[in-house]
Amino acid sequence: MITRKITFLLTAAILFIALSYAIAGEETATAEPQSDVIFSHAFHISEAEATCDICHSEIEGSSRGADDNLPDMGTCGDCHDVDDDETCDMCHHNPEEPSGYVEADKVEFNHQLHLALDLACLSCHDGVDQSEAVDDTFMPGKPLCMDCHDGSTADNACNLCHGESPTLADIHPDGWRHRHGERAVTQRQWCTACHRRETSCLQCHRGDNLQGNIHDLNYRFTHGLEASGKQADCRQCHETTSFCSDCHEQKIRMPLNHSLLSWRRDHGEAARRDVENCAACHEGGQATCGRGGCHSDFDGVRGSDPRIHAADAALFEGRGGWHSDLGYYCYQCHTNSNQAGSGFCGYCHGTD
Amino acid sequence: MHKKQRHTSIRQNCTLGGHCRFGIVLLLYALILAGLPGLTDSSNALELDGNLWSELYVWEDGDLQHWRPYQSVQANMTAWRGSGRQRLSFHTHARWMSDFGDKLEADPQTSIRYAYARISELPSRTTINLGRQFSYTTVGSSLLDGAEVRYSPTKRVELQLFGGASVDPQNPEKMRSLSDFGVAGGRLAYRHKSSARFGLNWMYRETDDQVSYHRLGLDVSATIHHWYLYTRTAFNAANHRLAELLARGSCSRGRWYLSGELLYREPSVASNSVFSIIDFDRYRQGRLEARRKVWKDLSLTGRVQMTLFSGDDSWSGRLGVQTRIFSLGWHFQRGYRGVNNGVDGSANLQLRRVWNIYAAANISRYHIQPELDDRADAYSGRLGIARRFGHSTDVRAEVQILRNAVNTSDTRFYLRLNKGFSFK
Repeated sequence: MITRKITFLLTAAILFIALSYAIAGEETATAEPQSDVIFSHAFHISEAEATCDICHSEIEGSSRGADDNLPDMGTCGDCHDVDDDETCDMCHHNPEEPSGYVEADKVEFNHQLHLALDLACLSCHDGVDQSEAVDDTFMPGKPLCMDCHDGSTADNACNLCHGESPTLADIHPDGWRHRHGERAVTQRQWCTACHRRETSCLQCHRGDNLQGNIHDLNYRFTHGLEASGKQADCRQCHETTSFCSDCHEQKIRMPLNHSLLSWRRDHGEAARRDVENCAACHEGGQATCGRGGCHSDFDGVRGSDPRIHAADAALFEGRGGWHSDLGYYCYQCHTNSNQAGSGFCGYCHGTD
Repeated sequence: MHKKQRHTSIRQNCTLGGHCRFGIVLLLYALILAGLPGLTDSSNALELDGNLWSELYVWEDGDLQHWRPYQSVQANMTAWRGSGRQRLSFHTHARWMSDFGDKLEADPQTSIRYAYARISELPSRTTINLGRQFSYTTVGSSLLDGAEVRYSPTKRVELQLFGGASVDPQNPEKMRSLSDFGVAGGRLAYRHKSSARFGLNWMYRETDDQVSYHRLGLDVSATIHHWYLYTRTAFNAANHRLAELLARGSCSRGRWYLSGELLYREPSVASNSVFSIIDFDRYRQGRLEARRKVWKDLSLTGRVQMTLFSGDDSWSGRLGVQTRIFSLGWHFQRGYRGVNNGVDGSANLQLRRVWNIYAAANISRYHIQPELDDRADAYSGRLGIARRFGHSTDVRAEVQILRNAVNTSDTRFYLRLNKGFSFK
């Protein structure tokens, strides 16, 4: 009951915090300008009837992503008086210390080639003609590129945009190693923008790790440390019961503590501290704790051998599988009399 | 009948029936790989793309020399396009493996990682996958033989449901009984504008006709300026207790990247195991990570991670530098179950646009079991060269060296040819 209350409270707290942040984030999204430059595309296009190439004059010949295609003060000076120190605030949020644009991350891109295909500027920079501020909102994102670069309409090789021989870190955003698992579930488009055909983990995690790309080559010797210390959650990728026992049983790699005389005394505490460690090898469906009569319900009396679990009533709530399934895991230790009033059945159904 | 006997008979039936059902998968697979190129002349334009990998891995194990070839294929085929985005496509990933130097348990070993048909936008706003596939939610995942349906009534809402029989990782060539190894799950997701996402998740799995996993979960993610926040919780419905609570945040701004997370979770043990009733401890974990770009593409990186155990905590971390070409770092781990300190690094040098020379090394001094008196040293390294031909083909050859207390001298060779293909 207490667990349920805690669960509910924690869930409610998480929801509340996340919602608050989400709402607060929307309200303040435009509070802080990304650039010191004040510029309204909407005004210049609709009121001043300017075309894109008037300010972005080099764009038609630009063939590299590194090209600087943003207009400088000289370009503004074609129409505005930029030498008048009194009017700095017309174009700068901070006229005392005016600065330029915030540098955006650039990938390889050939404007010349795309414009030659008769693609309009708004095909990629959709909405920029309505914008009032200078920011990167109208820079095309990867999903837009991949609409055409799907491998059939246009090439979709990584190095097309990310240069020759990009590494995974070059292509993916900061922190992707930690985030891509959850993103694959919560925001699938984040993956499918590039991994268009198939979002399965197996596309990259092909399993054999022959080159040590997923785990370092030394990992086979030190993996026990990471697994035990929970620095990695092996079960995210491996079905550990079979995966671990494949090698550990075959090569007889038993933990050294198992052969200590004190293990008989200490293993209960070890199991309580890190039962996952036990389950990695011993959970293959065979009786483990009850084997050899170690933890057995020898007298059929409830609570007379509480060495594994307390006589917790919550465990026996409802009509559990032990009623109909003679192979139920309870019978690894408990005696099934299959008769109300005696043995394990008598725990709930009385002793008479 | 005793459960064990019953299961034996079920498994026997399952094997026979499994072979029959597996025939369906093979048929689907054959359709993709062999039959369909014959249809390319039909009026409906057929698209086929994917990758073929041929690999050879050579190493010595005692007196035995292994020459292990791998042949893998990943293929996607669009067989039919209707009006709009309606589409019927097939997707597969399979691998064949053998060993010229040693007899494998089953030789050759063939495994179909996935093979499914996908029907898109038929009916509208729906995607249906049929066959062997990997399905996942935030509370669990499974490779299954079955079906998955995704339905998006609006752009903000998506419903995902899947069900079938889980695949036995030991015998992936067989299909298991739905009644004994059934798996089902789903997710209902809602996107609030572009800044927040909410999801309700469910996952249910049976093993040997008993509930081995049953979880319900909730996840929320939000993007606020440069911050990305994510939290999820899961409830163990089979044992009626909290299973997991995770909070994670990261910020990428200017030259800085910062990330941190807190995790509380119960140990991963099956609900139909005796271990699930032990009064065990929960794991409490924390992680902090930072990166600072200091000059051009040179960055300093740092990560520290800890897990709380009763009486003996576990710590690990790494400090390093990295650029586009190389990375070098010192890693450490100490506390519960042992110690591991060392240095690792990697380099990737490009020559004349199509050639790459790459290398990686790891030196560790570790003490993996408290019962051992001495620390052991482990050295590993690899040096390889890769040559790319166009966008879709590359060849690489690599030599690997491992030295440690178990393998005092171990040199390995790896060769790979990767060929991408695309036909219309």
